[in-house]
Amino acid sequence: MNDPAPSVDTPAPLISIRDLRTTYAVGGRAFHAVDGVSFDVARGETVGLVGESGCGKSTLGKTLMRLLRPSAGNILLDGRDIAGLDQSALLPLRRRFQMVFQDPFASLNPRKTIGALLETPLKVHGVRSAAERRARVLEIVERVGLPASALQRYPHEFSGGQRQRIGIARALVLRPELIICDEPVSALDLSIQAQILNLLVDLKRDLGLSYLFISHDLSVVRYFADRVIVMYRGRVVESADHATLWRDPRHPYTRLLLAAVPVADPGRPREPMPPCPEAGEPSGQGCSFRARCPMAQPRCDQEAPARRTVGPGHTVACHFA
Amino acid sequence: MTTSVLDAAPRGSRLLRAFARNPSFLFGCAILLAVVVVALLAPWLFPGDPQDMVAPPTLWPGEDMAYPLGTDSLGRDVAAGLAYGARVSLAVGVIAAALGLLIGAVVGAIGGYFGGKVDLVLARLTELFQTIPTFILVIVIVAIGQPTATVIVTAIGIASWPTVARLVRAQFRSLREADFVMAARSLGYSHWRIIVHEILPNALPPVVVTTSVMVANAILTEAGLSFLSMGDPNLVSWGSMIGDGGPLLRTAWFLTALPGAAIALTVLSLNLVGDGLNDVLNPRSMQQ
Amino acid sequence: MSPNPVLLQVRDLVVGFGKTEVVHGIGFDVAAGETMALVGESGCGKSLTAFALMRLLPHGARIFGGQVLFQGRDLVAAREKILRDIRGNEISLILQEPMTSLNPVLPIGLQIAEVLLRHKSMSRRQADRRVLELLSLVGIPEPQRRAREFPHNFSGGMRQRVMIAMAVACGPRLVIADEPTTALDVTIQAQVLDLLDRLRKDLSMAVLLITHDLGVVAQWADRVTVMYAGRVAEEGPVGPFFRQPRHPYARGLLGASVGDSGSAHYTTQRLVEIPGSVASAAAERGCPFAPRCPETIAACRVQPPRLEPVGEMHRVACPVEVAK
Repeated sequence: MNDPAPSVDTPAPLISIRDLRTTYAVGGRAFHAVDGVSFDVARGETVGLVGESGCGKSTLGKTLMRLLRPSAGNILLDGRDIAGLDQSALLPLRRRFQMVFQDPFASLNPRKTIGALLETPLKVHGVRSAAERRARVLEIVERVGLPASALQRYPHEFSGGQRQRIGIARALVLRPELIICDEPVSALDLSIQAQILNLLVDLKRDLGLSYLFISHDLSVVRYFADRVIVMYRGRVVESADHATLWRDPRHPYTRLLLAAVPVADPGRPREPMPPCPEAGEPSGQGCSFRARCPMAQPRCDQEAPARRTVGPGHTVACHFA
Repeated sequence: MTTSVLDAAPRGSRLLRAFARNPSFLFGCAILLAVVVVALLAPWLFPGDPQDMVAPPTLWPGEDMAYPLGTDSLGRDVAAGLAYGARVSLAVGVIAAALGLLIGAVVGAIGGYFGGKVDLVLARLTELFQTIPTFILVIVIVAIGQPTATVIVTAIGIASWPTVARLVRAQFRSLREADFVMAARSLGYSHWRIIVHEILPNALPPVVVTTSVMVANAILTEAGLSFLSMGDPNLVSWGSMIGDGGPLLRTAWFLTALPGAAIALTVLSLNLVGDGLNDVLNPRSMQQ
Repeated sequence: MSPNPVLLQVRDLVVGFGKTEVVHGIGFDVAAGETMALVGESGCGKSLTAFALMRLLPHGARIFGGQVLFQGRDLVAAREKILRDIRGNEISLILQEPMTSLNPVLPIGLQIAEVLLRHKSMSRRQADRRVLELLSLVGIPEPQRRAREFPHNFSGGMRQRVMIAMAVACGPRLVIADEPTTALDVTIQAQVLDLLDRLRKDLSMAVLLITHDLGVVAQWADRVTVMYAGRVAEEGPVGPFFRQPRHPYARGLLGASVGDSGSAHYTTQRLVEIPGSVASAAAERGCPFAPRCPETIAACRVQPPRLEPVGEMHRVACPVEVAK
């Protein structure tokens, strides 16, 4: 559930984000890339995080991985706040959540063999026996659909799709519970996307994983996620389960987004996009979407909308939705 | 579970291909190899001390086949001098360059990786050393210390690290934002591990290329010092041979020309090797 | 062909680098006023083909053979001077990344004016007036002010509109758009493609739209040509293509494409995979798709199949499909 106060009978979420803020200093001013985001990821759930460029979804993913320091808020991993932990306290917890990166060509160290790449995390996390490391690496390589001979090779010998499999293997080798996928298929060809998505589905089922799936590609998120969270300029504007979001989008931005996605069906008529001015200055006090919103009222300038529940598991941050 | 087709890149020797594409690389390597061989075999080719006076002075090359390259004003064998001089030049060149590389890599890596105040301090330090003219710095250090080979090598190393530091720092600054480094951080790798095992192997290739030029510069610097009689007096060096041959330039010009040619050839070969190494280590050819 | 007169005819075009062929003799037509989509995954040669049409090949690439007939003239054989007069004037190009295709140190108004002054005889003042008209046409507000600004003052979508203004400035018959919206957000993409489509109708241009996104093809193209490993796999009108794609590769692509109008979800449906990868096509003597194809027959491995008609203006390069 994404209400700030979870109900008593739902099991505790695996990871819970409360009012997270990540701020950059840009030219003397503070820029809130992530501006007060709250949501949960339950065990065994795939949460899709969508938004366009500048919405902060990638920054959010990196903040969760503690690659960036949050400037405010909590990240509760099984109830324990990891937002403020220093790196040495964080280390033992890191094996519980890992990340898959977007660019298969930049996410693997070109000078390391695949075997070394996959064994090092085990070494760092205390698996002393070389034989055990070997066994676990072989197991994971097989699980992602690569042959054992891959271990002696270097990344440049593999195609984009294969490298992404290696990236997934690296994320899995520590047996995490949560995988944050940052645009994992965006850089891949369509036919390879299907392979990787199917792999991720299989892995989730076989290993009981939870995913936070960050993507700008709504079609992919619609297929892959259980629940979807829509972000705009650092804030959550709507969240719902996948069927509800497409059936009943409430937030004007969500509607705009869904209308814009080209569907591979020429029979579907296109409504022309409303001409909207491009986003300008940061939001400040009011709603971050007001400059582009067809329903904007004076109230939207002064008061940022709070998230309201409009249905089971469905919240919207809009005064009028 | 589908097993994708593994498209293995051809595993040919990049070195051989670099040789084929780049004949000057081959040439450079050949010359360098010859110099190294002569240097290594000097004690066997020319037993005894090259500073011994063994023959009548200022014999011309070819006059007496026992001394094929002639003798200098003190009757010392020029060929022996060249061979032993090769040992000195190469030893000084390589060790000084290695020292510069070590210091520069450490400074550049730490500054480039950590950024912030650490980087600020180290960058200023680098700039400080860079603004002092290399040769003058070396002379000053040697003048303060003793003109022994150790001091000379250390002085050259100290004077040459800034270039490496800047290069390494730039590499680290860009590589620390790479996805694979973020992956390493998200796996909880320590700073040490990331610097040494993740970033450094990727940062070094352009630095290795610079190293051969550093060796060349070190050789030139040492030759300059010896020419000015500030080198180690116990060693025969190409530079000292040029210095000694100076007064006889009009009559026995081979005494300056031969060691001069040796220096030029060695420096040239190092530059060619450096260019060729660039090709070997960065195989970014347009392949379709 | 479609009822409109044929504007561009590509016949047996072979393009490659050095000694290696990358595009192996492709052919398709573009009729006046229609949008033809050229679809394929990375490495299929679609971008190279697009550049070859105007002989704007990258260093090391050349046209080995074939013809590109534009309004009857063969552009492959024409002199460079003729090509220069055509580029930007009768055929123009819109590229994927506007930040690198616009000159960062010149104001955009000047860049658009340059195109006009090069190809049309008009005074500088006339050109400036026309620039303002064009900026309004592509939906850039306050054209007077913005014409003096630099590319970095514009967002990605706005820059692409500037590119479109430059492309249509001289009233071309054909606009080649190479992945024009791939680098843009999806809401901006829709606006830009709508703009291009509107201009196409208003100015009677044809558009050759190169893309890897089947949704874009379905929504904005009239006809589609699917390329695989440097060859045409299927070519036809968009409606019949999406209703029933004939080539096994095209079927695989549509199956893998998640963006269909149904509510497919991973809990109920598995995505169709095309096993293997494009690299396997390199060594293949017969049909390049054979190593990954579920329906090969003996003839498939012997020689690459020819494009044969299977319906109204609909052709497929697959002996198995043609036989059905």
